[in-house]
Amino acid sequence: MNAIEVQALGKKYPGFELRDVTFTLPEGCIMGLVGENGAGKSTLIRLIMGAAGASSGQARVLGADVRGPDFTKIKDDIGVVLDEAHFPASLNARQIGRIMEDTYSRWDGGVYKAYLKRLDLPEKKRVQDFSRGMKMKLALACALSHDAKLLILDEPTGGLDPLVRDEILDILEDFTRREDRSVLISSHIVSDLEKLCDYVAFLHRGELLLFEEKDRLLEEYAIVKLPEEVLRDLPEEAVHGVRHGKYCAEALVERDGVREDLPLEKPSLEDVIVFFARGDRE
Amino acid sequence: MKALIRKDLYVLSTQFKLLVLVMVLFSAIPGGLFVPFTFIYATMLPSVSLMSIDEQSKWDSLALMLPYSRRQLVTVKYIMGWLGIAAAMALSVASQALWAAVGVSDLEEGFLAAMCVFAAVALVVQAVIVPVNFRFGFAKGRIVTVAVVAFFGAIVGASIGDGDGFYTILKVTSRIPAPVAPLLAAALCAATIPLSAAGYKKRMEK
Repeated sequence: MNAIEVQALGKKYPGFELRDVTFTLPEGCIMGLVGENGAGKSTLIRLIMGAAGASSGQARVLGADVRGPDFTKIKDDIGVVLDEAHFPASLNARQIGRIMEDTYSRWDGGVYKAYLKRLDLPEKKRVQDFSRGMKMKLALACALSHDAKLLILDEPTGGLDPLVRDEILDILEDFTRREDRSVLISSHIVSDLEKLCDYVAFLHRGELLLFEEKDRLLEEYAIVKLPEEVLRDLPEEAVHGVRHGKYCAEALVERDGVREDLPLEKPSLEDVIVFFARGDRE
Repeated sequence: MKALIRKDLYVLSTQFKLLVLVMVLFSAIPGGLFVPFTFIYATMLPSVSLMSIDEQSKWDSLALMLPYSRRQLVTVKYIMGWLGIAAAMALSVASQALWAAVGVSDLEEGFLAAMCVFAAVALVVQAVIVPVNFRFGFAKGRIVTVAVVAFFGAIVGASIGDGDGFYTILKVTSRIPAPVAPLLAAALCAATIPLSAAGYKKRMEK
């Protein structure tokens, strides 16, 4: 079974449109959704969770149509972390745990307490007195304490210091040790996703420019630095974005589309994303 | 639903202690003159307090991604409103009966019937302001809330202000069979749940 299937999904807002997004996240895989602020990542997540109605297309999560009547029950198998904790500020972690216990059928209070301890979160301190990092860790503890099959995280590491980010990424790695668990994580911090993901989707100005297995992506593409006049001779369809320098140009190219004798360098995921965005701009 | 009720009770107990305290005080003032204000506060429970906190903390965005239906998210606010009105009634009757028992003040004839009418009015007010707040959000909805609550508050205030007004209300309302008005109002209030759910869907799906 696929964890998420999205087919030609679209949503129109005044001044913004998410267009024709199609991808499939197989069960047991981690997908990183990359995109600049305002690219449509949160909108896509809201559509996938049935929290907003699509203007076109459809989405299925854990086998259920997100607009269908059964999807509320399916959410019992999904853990969600949004860009902030979104819990009423006057509550504490213990009270939030009790609310979640009544919310999820497989809530495990022991697991929740263990996460609070591991993440160094006080049980009786009000959320309003938590730092941003603590709030995100609390949201993560809630999302991980009910044996979810799918975890959906919207910018969970945004605005956090590197230590907390690393801690969160470690926890996500632990979560995906079981093969039937899947993760969709959105971020504009590409390095976080590079460590974690099997698949990468790049959303740019409401359009899905790229959806590919991460390893294949890094194998298929290469960075090449050449004088402008040599670069101009490369097949146009093999070049996916160029950065013009004073002495030479740098381009992202498809390895199979260019000569083997060119000085090709392995790109980072960030290189691929940046060049795709530049290519789109040009 | 249990989770949502628990959450709202926690929010009330941690963030709105003062509101609850004021309700208790107004209900307990001997003579029952301030009892109507207890009901006014009760009508404000679901919209002015709980819905505003949901919006402010963005709980409403998160809740749509948790295993709650939209209908449950709406219905819980009605339930909290009804609990508030029931609490206002219970507090008022109990405290006024206590004052009468110890001889501090008399329990006026028709007091119970008047409580039923106050409860009915509170339910009608809820039937107006809750759907508006679900459709337009607290920031816009509070204008309607304040206008409606102020309208009823002014009527109550004027009736108390002229001295005999409150007792006139008791006399008039004592002629209405006790449970009829609140039951009709509760039915009207419950009938607006689908309207609130539709308005909520429209707002949140934007």
